[in-house]
Amino acid sequence: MPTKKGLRHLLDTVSLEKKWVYDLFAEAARYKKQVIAAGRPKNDLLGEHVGLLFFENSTRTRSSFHIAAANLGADPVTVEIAFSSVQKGESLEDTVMTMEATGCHFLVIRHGEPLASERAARVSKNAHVINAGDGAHEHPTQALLDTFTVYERRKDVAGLTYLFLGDILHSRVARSNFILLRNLGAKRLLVCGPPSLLPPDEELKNLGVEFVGNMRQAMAQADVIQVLRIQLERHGDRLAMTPGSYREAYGMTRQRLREYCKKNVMIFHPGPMNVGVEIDRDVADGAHSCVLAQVVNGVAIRMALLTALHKNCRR
Amino acid sequence: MNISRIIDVRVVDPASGCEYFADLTLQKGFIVKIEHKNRLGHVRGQPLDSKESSGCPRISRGVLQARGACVSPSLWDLHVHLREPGQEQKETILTGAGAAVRGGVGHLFAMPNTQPAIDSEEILTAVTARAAEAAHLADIGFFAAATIARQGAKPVDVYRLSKLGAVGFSDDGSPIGDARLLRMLLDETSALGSFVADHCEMPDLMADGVMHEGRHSRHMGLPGIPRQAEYLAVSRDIEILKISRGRLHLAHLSTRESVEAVRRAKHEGLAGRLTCEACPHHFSLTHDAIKLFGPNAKVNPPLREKDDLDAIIDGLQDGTIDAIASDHAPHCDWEKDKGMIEAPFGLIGLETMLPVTLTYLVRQGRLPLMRAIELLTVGPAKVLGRAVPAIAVGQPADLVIFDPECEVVFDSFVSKSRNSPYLGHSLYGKVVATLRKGRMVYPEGSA
Repeated sequence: MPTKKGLRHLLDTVSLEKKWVYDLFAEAARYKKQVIAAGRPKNDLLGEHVGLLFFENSTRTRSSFHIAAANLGADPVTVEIAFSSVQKGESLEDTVMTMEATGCHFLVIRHGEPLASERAARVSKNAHVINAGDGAHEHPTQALLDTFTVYERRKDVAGLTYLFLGDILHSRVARSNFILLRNLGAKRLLVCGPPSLLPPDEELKNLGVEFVGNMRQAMAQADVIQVLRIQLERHGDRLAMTPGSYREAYGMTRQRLREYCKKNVMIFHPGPMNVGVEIDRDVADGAHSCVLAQVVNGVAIRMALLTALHKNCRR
Repeated sequence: MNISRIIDVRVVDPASGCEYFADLTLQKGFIVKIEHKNRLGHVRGQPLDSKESSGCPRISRGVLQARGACVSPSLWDLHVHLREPGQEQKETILTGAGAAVRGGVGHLFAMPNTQPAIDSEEILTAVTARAAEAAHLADIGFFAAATIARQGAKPVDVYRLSKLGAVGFSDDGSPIGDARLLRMLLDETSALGSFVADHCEMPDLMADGVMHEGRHSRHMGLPGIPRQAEYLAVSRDIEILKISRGRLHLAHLSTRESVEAVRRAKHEGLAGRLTCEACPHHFSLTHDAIKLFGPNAKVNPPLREKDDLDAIIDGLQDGTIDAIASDHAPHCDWEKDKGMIEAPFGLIGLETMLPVTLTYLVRQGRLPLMRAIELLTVGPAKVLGRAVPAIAVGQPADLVIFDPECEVVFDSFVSKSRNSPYLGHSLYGKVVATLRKGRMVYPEGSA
């Protein structure tokens, strides 16, 4: 919430102001150059503890926060949820208060429940709560790192057309990206995917997003294509399509990249990828792919975020 | 044999809404010329001889003359069971096509409740290949099952099956019970320009019923199927359609409440996405037919009451109902002979669809001929999202020539089965000839 003191928590993308975002990008770019590329950690957050409360599985987000904290001299504290008191029935609120009491000033939370980080923020006294993904609601740091990657390469975010491919309905990445990109004035936001995995038309309208039924048309217009994970583990056989048909109908294939896409298109995937289903190996590893840049930038943006929250709101 | 001219016929063309006398010239399977006439026989100055209205075409050197007969695009039947693969003793794709052309049906669309069900690429490819062997008779399309083995649990690959030519998706014979699955299928088929056809029924209410629950079922002591079993499912489907994207077709409506629910939904803005069909037996017979015809009148949904029949006819009239479909469901004699409880549901209808429509609707003044033919041609084509058939220059010569005044006795059927309540009965409206791409495919071997 923006207060007189500035942003204390990062719970969603709705509350982010343009200036704050661009300042964050500048800071992230600086960290990327001075810390990550140079391999020289800083001590900006020396002595701070960053609690990583991951109630859901994660590889890149968790390690990215871990390294971001370490790069700044802070101490990442990982709570192994599977071995924690959560298994004994401890509530989210109690877990948060406990972690804060142990001295964590940052609480990074990934949870399957939408608005879990808001619940955490409500009970935290002084800590900074960061939403690292709450159900199908939001994943603000992912949207920030995605947009930072675009910004870094094109020096422009607003004038571009973005295409989101696949499961929009269950994607917190898509939702956070829509809101952030609209705040930053993106030219057009397009979606394409199985109709049963698209939000209702009314919701798309509210988000300022256009549905384009034809893959060729959609791809031809896009400067950035965000390929979303088709969550086979969540919908499984509820999708009336085999993985092979999915690829044929909506996959980011080599052939489509070659035949339909702009020459300088940027291809994103928030991971983990189903290679050979929503994206071809060649595309994921190819020249247009930003998948690994996303990971590197994830560390930079999270470093910038931790310092920004820390600076904006001195205790 | 190839027909080059059809003379002295009354053209009934629902695509244009025009009815007129004309001679048609055909070439290479297409209509190439239409010569309007003021009235029948006027050009030749010959009076109409009632004896000539025998229902038999007079053919010489490719010129077909059928005084008093009408010509329209050959009929479309949205809902047939061809029993192949798995129950070839009842019907095959080829015998079904034979029955179709005897009934003037040139386009028929088979339901996937075969054994095994048409739920995979392999089966769809196989039946499509069999249909190609009957393509000289009629155009045959297939619905694919909505779920694997029609079990209602796991959806089929709608993308692949659509690309392979499935005309739509249905678990016909069973409803799609899982509402969330129905919603998903409606959404997914919308991206493919396809649709879902549902057999509306609440299985719990249907239970072990064998006929309409009412006066007659109670009198005979037979377990009944309440009308609610259908219309509650119809209402549910309509509500799900409201929160989905695609197109929904409701098969064989039988109750007043169902027709009214569809009418209301269409008024409320679903007209472009909701269609439905009614079967000839549901607008010609009522539940007392069970007393007369026994298992040959056992059908699901069951024959209902006079009031339902009237509601269906109103629906056919005012456009609530989009198409007439036969629900042709062949069964062997020995199966139907098991009695009311044990006999399977279903009756054949390809050969009687047109005469029943003409006898019970048109002759009784309850539906204009033009509207009746529309419901048998243009209506179903629109449901399928296909090009509307028409009598016009450049259109394929897929035609039916029929005599609405000529009586025909159904002593035997071309179908492999004969489970029809009309068996041995006389109806008005004889199919004089059926043409497929300008070739006469019924009657066979004539001239």
